[in-house]
Amino acid sequence: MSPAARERIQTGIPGFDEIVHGGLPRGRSTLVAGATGTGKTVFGLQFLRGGAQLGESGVLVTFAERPEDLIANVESFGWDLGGLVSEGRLAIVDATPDTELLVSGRFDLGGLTARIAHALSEVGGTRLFLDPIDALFEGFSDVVEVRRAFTAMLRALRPLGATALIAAERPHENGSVTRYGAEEFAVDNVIVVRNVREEERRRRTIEVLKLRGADHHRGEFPFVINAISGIEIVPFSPIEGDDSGSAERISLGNADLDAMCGGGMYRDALMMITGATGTGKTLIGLQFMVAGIRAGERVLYLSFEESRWQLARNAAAWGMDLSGSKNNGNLEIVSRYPARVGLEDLLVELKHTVEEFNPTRLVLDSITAVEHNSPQNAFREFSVGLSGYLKARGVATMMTTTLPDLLGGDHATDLYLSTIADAIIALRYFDLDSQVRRAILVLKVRGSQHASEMHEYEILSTGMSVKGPIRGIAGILAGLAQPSASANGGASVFEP
Amino acid sequence: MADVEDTGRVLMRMYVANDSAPSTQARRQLAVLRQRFGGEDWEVDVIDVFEQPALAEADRVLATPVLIRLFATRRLSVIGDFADLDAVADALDLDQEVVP
Repeated sequence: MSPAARERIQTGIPGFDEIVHGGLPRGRSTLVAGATGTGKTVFGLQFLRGGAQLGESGVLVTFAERPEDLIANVESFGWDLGGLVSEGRLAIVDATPDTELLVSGRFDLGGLTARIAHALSEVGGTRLFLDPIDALFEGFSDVVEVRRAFTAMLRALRPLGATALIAAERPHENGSVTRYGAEEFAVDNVIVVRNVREEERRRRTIEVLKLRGADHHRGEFPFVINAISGIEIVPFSPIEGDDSGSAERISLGNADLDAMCGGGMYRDALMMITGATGTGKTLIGLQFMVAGIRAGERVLYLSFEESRWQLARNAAAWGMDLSGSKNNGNLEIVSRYPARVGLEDLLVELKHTVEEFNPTRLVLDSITAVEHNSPQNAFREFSVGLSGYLKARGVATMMTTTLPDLLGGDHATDLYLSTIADAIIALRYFDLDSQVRRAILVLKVRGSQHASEMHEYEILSTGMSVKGPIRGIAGILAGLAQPSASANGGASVFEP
Repeated sequence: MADVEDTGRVLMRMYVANDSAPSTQARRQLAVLRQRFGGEDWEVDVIDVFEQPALAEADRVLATPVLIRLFATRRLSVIGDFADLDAVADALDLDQEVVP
């Protein structure tokens, strides 16, 4: 059978099947290697439970923990393994070894082989999880002999056709894949799970090292373990993306802005609004939101700096009513203080929110709030991952970033976000003649002609009002506004 | 099972895995063991794990061959093809070697 033709089975681990292009090859064996506490057991139990949900029974072979302890440990996920056992969809083989044993001469694992085969036939099992095999090695002094016996057992079980996961300890995060050289077993596939400290925080990743005869995505994929799904791969990389861009334009909710952008923004675009505090980023976000509601769209507003109440109050000041009666349930406002949760957890949570509410527009105000207290590379992954996910889903997204300085300047966040964003609007204060004024510049609109000049704008009680282009002043974007040489010493001059 | 020990009988169970090399060798060594340690009266059940996996499950057998001596409240086990019979006898608490 060619690799492409080999049937894949869904693991039941959200996001993992995409990494291996559709699931694990049926009937093959996979080593899941990781240090203590990396989530190997959860991975395997989720695989068995996922199978049970698809009508595939399974067998759990436990070498270290007693079956009742394992069952109790995953009750917090809402997994009722005991129930699966009584329904005949799961069999558990207790393979915790006796410690006081004399070994004299050669042996094999015939007893265990027979018991596993028996359990598989009892429940009609097609999935098998051995967890973790190290305890077996610890029960015998001759590691080479156990490894040989274990390999023989895997070979003997192979004709039964079960798809097998084998958990094995890694002594360290770096170095050999497993403690007892389990990678030398005749396994088809090797997966490594990690839980490493990175700049004061833990980070879990999963990596497929080998997938026999089949292609897979390379590299480490972050994952979380949460109470909803168990293990869930964080959608940091847009694995399944639709590159066909939309030609449809949607309104930003402000005629002046729409005109500056060449007629609104594309339906599947990501627009970034960057500016210092008070420049009106939230206002632009709210206008974008209202335009969506008016068009009958579903809008998700993620507020990372203000509470729902504060946001509603600010909106009311501009004459916008965020109360439920006005929007027919098409508006969802989620307020989060992201410093309290890990970025991986936050991203997974946002993904769940997006999947449940299914918005066509989304405002994220502001992504800078996420950056505080986060390591730079983790934040970078988060923002790239989130925007990639939203783009792949085709959600029209407006993301604000807050500049640290009141007067212009660049910011690292903007540098890499700007490569992802399809459109960028920069808002700047500038002061001239003891007056602080506001300037707006459309830096980029992918696939469109747009205004290239800096315009002055005002924030009125009715919202944002864009005045004419600014002439005769240079350096606003960099926060160094001064009359330009060509302007003959005059102050700002607007187009008539 | 209290009577097992009280009557002084030796009750054992040996699990083998069909005709694998260690299991075949273990059957031979068991016969030698009985000869050397006065085992004419021992009751030894020899069970093939592939024929009776439910029994292997009940006794939580992992490795084969395994020789288990059953007492009223405990059990002693030896795994392997019993290359060292003195060690096996010692581990199973069998009587002194019978001098022919």
